[in-house]
Amino acid sequence: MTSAQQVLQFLVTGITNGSIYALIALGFVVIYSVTSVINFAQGEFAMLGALLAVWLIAVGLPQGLALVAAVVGVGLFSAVLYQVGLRPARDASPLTLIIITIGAALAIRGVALVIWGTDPYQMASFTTGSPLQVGGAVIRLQSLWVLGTTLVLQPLLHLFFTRTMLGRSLRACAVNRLAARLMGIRTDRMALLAFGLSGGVGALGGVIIAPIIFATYDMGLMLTLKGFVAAVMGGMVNYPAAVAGGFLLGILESLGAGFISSGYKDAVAFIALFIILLSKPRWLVRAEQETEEGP
Amino acid sequence: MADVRRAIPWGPLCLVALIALLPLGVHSRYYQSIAVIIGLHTIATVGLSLLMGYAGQVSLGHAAFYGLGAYVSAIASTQLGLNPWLALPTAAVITGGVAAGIGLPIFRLRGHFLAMATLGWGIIAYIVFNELREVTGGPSGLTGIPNLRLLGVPLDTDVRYYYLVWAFALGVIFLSRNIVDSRVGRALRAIHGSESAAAALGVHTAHYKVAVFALSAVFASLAGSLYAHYLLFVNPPPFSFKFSIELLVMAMIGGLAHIWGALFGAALITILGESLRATIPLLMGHASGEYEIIAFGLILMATMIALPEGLWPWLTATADRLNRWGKAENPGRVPASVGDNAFAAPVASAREGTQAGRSISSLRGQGRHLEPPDPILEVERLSKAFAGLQALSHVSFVVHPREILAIIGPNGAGKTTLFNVIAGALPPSGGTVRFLGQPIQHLVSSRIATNGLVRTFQNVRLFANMTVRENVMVGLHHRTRAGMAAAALRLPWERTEERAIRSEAGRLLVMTGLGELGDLAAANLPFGQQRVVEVTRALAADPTILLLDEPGAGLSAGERERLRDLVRRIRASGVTVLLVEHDMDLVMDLADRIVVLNYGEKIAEGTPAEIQNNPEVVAAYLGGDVLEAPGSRR
Repeated sequence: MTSAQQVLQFLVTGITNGSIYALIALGFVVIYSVTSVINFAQGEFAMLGALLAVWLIAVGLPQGLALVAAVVGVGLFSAVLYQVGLRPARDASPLTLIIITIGAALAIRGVALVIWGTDPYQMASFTTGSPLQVGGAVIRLQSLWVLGTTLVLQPLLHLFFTRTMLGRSLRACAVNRLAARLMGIRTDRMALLAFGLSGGVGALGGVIIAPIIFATYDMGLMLTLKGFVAAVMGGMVNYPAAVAGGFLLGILESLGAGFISSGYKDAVAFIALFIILLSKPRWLVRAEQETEEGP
Repeated sequence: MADVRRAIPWGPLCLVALIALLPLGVHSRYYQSIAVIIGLHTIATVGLSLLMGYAGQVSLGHAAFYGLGAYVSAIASTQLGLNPWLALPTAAVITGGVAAGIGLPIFRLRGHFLAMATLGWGIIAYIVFNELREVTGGPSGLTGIPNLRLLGVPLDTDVRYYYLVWAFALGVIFLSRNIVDSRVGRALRAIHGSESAAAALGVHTAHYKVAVFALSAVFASLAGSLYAHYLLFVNPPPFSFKFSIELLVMAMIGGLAHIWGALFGAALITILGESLRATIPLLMGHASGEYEIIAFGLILMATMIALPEGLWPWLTATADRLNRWGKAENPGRVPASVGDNAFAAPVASAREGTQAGRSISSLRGQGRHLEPPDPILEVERLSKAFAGLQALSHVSFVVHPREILAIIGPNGAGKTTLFNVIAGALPPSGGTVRFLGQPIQHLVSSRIATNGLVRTFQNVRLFANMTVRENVMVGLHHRTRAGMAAAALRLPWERTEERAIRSEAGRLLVMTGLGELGDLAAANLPFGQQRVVEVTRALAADPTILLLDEPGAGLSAGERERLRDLVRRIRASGVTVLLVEHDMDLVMDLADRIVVLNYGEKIAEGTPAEIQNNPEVVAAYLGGDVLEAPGSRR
């Protein structure tokens, strides 16, 4: 394999992984922009989506139906999580809210451990067929599914948020919750919706990678962190930029693992996070000022 | 009688006795080892409690410091052949240095971003423990770590080690309690209450945040080193993200701002974790797995939702209530006179006021600028642009010593932005600010405050978590000097200084008419009195020039009258006053000169009489009569 082929292969891997980070990042952005909460359970939604889909297929559901059911189910679960976990404390400090979502993430992971144990699960690919060969790099068909889903979902979300009344109401909450309330928008409903949507998007990320990676009960934490890094790369409130952040992170990781050391692959994301946070882009300064003044 | 009761801390003494006697009753090695682990967790949790509860900063990566302490100790005492007793401080110094090094950039962040950055640090450290095989032994870890020895006796049994660990734990608790109850502790709590207000009083917030982060890391490192010399073996898994969260839960349960609570939280969660680890697999039938995380997760959520202050404070408060109820004592200790007596300073103290902040000689800074240069403050072509909005454009004016200069203008004219830029809360986009002849526009707000330019806030920013007196004592912060070490060790001069701070704060409170309210929680005062507390606090910082941002907003007519009196007395004591105010009666009455802003530009400057007759000013106020112009914003 020539080094050009190697780089191409790393790019393919990076973009595939990056798609997942992008989907998790979208989930972060949906919740953060509507409620200013950073939801630490975001990666757990992907884990739940993947394991739930695998389980539904195992009990006899057709794959397509199982995928939809898993995505919808996790979306509903996420809304319930908001209702019982975050809504009662919605006036608390950002730190309190973040800790509540950490607690939720731990509990979800623990319950998944009880249900599914420590075994890894794999799902059949969405389509069967031999991998593509492009310029010496091998591309699995499922990778195309993953990439396609991300590329389709992002514009859909964008349209939803810019062109529908509901989406605009959600954005209004993000800009100024009080003003949104005064305009008759039920901000609690919107937060509920944001969690539901975000849970669904996260679960979608989980089900589309389930055929590529082995899904385990403890895969959520790393996905949460990487998705967060991707969202930070994209400025936290920008959907297309979050997706771009996901791809960039995936590619950086894949190159880092290939050329430096696979052991340090996970460190790449955090070094990137440090560099971004410490360079203090303008959006970050603004977001921090908002957190200090508080509600 | 009550004093004697308070002088002897029965509760802590009983606890110490219990800790000392515990091994006599516990013979199971398993339980003994749990008691050792609780001690280790207590040490680390106390540090986290200082960081999170007092300074209000978060760390989701403290397991990394614990691990760093363990690894450095292990490496130093095996590969480098260092005496284990030297390995401990070596590890502490290295860990403290690493914490300060990463803390310096990290603590420029706030809120969720700080949380994520500390978490990122924890994950990176964990990866390094695993990957740096030549040094750490990788996943298989390091063995052959020597025992600690005391007077030739190896501390190689659980009971011996138990006493060692708990001696350290109690020592850490003792030092931390001293720090909390000191100038440093007050500064930390002030940062928690309102970082911007603390900085505006001359508390070097960045310094304290990094210092307390490093201290908490040193505690974690100490616990980690003791762990290494206890198990005589280290490998990465105990230092993962999960342990960071466990420490967090312990600190949270203990109620962050309670040092003894850290012990409670560490004991409860360690015991709970152990018993869950033992029982859940039996119930579930699975052989392995960290099932206890379900419980940790649910406890964390439930605590944060129902008892955000923590379980321990709730328990002690409940015990207190029961106790008091048993004694049928009146629960409320609020003085009866907490009415509308804001600014109720007796007229007699007006003379006293001429010495505002200048009478106690052991405090630094009094009368620094009794003969300040003229002009005392020069604002030159100052501009500030926010995205798409020019909030200030080329504003210039000077302030002369001992004058009262008012800045007025319609809502949105840029008055508060002007204050924020002058006081260093916002960087200017252009122009200079010279204070006492020196440019200050590049300084951070705490530095500007220590130079003698002190401000209050439009929306009163008291440290709600502190009493009225403590609020004022924070104002005295930059005029005093006890640091962390002096506070931890309670050096005699530190206590003397502390008494001076307390009595000076009391004197200032009497001067502004709040003498009886010193022990009340600042957050419980009526709004008018909160304003006075804020002004008193600013006076405590010994301003050469005092910036008052809408001091009259939200006050009743009577309170405003007394405010006018107070501002006059402040000026009479030699302090220059710069005032933003909407109440035109107050402005016209108090100000020597007035600067008028409109849409970020200066449109007029002059004496009250000149301003009242300036047609441009009248037009700016929507053509209305200036004297009838909007009274108060709210």
